[in-house]
Amino acid sequence: MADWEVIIGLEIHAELLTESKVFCGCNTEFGGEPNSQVCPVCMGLPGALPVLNRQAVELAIKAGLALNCTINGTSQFDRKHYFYPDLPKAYQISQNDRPLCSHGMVELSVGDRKRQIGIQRVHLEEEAGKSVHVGDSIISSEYSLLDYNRSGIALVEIVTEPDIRSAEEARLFLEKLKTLLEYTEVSDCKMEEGSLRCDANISLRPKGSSAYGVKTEIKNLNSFRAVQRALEFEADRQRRLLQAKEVVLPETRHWDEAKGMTFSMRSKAKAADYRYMPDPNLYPLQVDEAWIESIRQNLPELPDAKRDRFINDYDLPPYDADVLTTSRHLADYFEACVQEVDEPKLVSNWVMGEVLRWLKAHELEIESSPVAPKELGGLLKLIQEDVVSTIVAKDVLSEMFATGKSAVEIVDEKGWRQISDADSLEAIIDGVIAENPGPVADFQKGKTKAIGFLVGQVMKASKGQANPQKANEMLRQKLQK
Amino acid sequence: MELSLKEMEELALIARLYLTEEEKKILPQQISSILDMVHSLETVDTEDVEPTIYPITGSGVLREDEILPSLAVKDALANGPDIVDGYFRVPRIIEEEYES
Amino acid sequence: MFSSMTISQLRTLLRAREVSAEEVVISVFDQIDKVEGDIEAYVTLCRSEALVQAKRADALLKEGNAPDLCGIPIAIKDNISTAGLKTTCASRILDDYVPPFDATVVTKLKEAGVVIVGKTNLDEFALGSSTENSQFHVTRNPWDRSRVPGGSSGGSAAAVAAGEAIAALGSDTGGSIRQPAAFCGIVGLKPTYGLVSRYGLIPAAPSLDHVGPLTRDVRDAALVLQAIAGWDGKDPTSVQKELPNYEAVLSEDITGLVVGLPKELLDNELDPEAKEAIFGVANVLESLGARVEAISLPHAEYAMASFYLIASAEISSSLACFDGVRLGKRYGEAKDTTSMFMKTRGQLGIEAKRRILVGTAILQEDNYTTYFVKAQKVRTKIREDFQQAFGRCDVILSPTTPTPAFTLGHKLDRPVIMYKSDVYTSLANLAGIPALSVPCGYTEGGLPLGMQIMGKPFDEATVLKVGHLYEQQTASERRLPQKEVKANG
Ligand SMILES: [Mg+2]
Ligand SMILES: [Zn+2]
Repeated sequence: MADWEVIIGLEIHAELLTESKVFCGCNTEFGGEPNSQVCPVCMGLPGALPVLNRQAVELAIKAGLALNCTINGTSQFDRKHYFYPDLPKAYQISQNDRPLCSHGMVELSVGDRKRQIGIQRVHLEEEAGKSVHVGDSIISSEYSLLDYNRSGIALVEIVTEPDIRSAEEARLFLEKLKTLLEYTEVSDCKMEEGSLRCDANISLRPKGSSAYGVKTEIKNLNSFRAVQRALEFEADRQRRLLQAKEVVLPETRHWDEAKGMTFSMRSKAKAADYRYMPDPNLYPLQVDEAWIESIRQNLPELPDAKRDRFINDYDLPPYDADVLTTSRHLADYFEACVQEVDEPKLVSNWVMGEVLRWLKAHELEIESSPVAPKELGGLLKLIQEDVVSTIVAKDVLSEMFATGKSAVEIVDEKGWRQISDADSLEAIIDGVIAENPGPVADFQKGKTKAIGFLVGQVMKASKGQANPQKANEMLRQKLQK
Repeated sequence: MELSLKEMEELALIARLYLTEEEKKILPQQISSILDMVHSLETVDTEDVEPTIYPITGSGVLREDEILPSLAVKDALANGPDIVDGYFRVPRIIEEEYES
Repeated sequence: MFSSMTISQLRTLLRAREVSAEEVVISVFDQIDKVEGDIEAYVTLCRSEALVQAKRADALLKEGNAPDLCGIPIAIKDNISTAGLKTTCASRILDDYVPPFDATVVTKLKEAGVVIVGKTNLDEFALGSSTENSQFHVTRNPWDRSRVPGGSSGGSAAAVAAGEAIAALGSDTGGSIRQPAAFCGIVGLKPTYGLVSRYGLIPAAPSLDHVGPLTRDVRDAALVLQAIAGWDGKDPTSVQKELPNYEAVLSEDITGLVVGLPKELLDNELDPEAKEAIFGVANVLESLGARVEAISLPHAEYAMASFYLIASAEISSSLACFDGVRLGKRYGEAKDTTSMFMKTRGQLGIEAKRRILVGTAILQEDNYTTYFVKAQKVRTKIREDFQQAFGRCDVILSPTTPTPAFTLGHKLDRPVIMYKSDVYTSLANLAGIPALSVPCGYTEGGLPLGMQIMGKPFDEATVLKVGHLYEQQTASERRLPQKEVKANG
């Protein structure tokens, strides 16, 4: 039986974080009343003309730089024609032959291996409007309703080379891409609001072969998980067909999340002809070196560089550095906290552990964390200064999230300060020794493990406030006398 | 190039144009003769000639990213032939080749 | 009588308060009442709004600081968007379309104080050379009612010639201002591409479309151009340039100016009377101190093919937005969008359909290079011809059209024959250069003939100057259209 190689290429559309649309001044804010963010230009009223948004170009260049692309000094806007009611002019202004950015590359870590995924192009184009289907689905609804608020929002289309070799790699690529676009503040990448969308092309070929097999295109991939699942399903489906000596049809398939299957939407026997032509209203886009250079200079530190710096400067384990740099906000949070408390591993443990766990439980993002880095720093300082124990600190953090109060306030209000002074501790320790003659005798006979039990008893008697290290030391001194 | 009726009907579908019987009779020949005008161009040597897309050599203006007022909703909808709840309504969309 | 005057004449009277803007507008509407039944130049008239605007103009005039065009009744071709005023393109599809915005040229004219008389008839979507492709009605030539006024700005030309407006705006994709101006015995100017904003002009072929004036004399063309020219941030192809005072340059002389006569445009297909008229013009210009030289535009013979292939491709794209979703009328019952699109767009007239089908064919991947790119490369050759020619001469003189106005119905069924008559004018659209049509005599039958003066890019000043001096020199030969129009003028 033949061994098959999976070939995947992705096409990603990301909405750019501009204030206004790509060719007009309409607001891009999400969720407005239907058809309240439209004008003659983005509604395609005849006679209105497109004027390109400088910031859209700048963000697309940023995306290109983050993806290691060549930024082309001259690029061209083309009209891509098709009739669909959400497309006001019946053509989309896009870039065909001469995209703004091309020949890029993204490096992925897949397990222990490094993989390089080529980026064929990053081009600028305009978003379409939104159609709401009255009824259960496109097919069964008798009418559709059109809202053009999204029409004309700036998009980048990012096309990879067919370099991806598994469904998992596809997901990892998308995660990396999302991180890069968020870092550079090119896009907010909210898949649920449609600001990041992905279509996937997949084909199989016998291992060792260099020719490509027949590919299918999968649409309706609404989450990273869906991308991986759909590609796993589709690879499997194609493999079975090929092994049964059947043919894979060149078609567009729709991912059904609930059923966990892809379905044929339409045959691509005759490739769509979009009748591309240069848009006579838009002169070629000229981008000079100086502009590209100034964008490059102002590019934030990208995740790979940041990760390496975290390992080198903060002496963090690679795992911690990976997790902390998945999001620029998380990395910023970490670094702001390290400013307060100069113990990076302690900060890393708390951010990756307690903070993320709590945020996840409340479905919050790090940038909207109720506990600011400075506040977390305040808590961690109390640990460093032995004011609270790690166990108590977890309770304090929980209170901080709930009340918004500072760590010091909570510790004082609750009387949770750790007992470290010898006099107070001595009284408690003496009591514990008196009440536990058995373990005391065990320890003195050489069963050193018994000390643990006794420290536990001290903690219990102090309601967790005793400094466990101090208690341990004092117990040993007393019992060895 | 002699355009057949079938070829013209394909073009008409792509262009979303309903044609009358009368138009179907006369258009194929007329369209063919217009397309045939290209033959007169074949004698012009255009090797290494750049195509003219724009009549003058211009450079594109860029707009600053500033929000400008949109149309009032009622003005945006005013010309719509079928308006429901602030939306433009269309009959069932048959899924066709399209992408963004 | 005011209705037959020029802008400059009226400007003097209005400023001297010898006539009010209101009286001028009333005079124009009186003329409309007399002749519009015959001419049918308009799609929409705005009588009451015009009176309101005239009163406003009178207030400004009274203050004594009125702009040049204050109180001048002007007609607008019905493919130029007017906020709150129907803009139909003479198409059933747009029959009730009211744009929510003004074209930049309309905004500018309003700022210049004009009074908008109405919206003029045209070939549907400006596709045609006779105005017979209007889906509403035909417009007749004021010089001979059995003849076409030309097109596609036939309504604008007829209105100005018949005293139904003092001046008009038209659009010109392949000659649509100059050819009707020539047919109707008036002046028409297609400015340099990028000089006048296209924002709000409903496009036919954006790389060929222009907006410009149709007027009674060259001075008026200069005045209207002054008002509508200039950079517009809403039109990305608009050009930032210091504008000359177009009226002031008219008085300069043309001694030493070189006039090129392209031999390719004075060949045998040309009507002998038209040819004779051009040599007559050349003599007059020489007598004024210009030097006339034979030049060559070797690729002129390819203009028609290049023009129609490019125009059709662009037109098929421009007209795709008329799908019955956001604007215009929706026709027929449809259970799905595809059939809705087809039925609605099926209302387009045959010329629009012809161009859309040709354009759709040309833009298909298999044909794109052999048809579209080839035509665009030939366009480059034509532009180079002009660059060469303008190395030797300052302006190029030719007939505007190979024949005078033809009879109604004459060429409708033979599109390629019809297209041929656009050769002289479409050259300037392909090259983007300014071109002015000025009346230059009459046929034996009494029909006006027009000459075309083409100039270097953005050198409207020279073109207008030459036209104006010729016009001055031959003023005594000028005639007006038919008696009844003249009598009431
Ligand atoms: Mg796209
Ligand atoms: Zn808009």
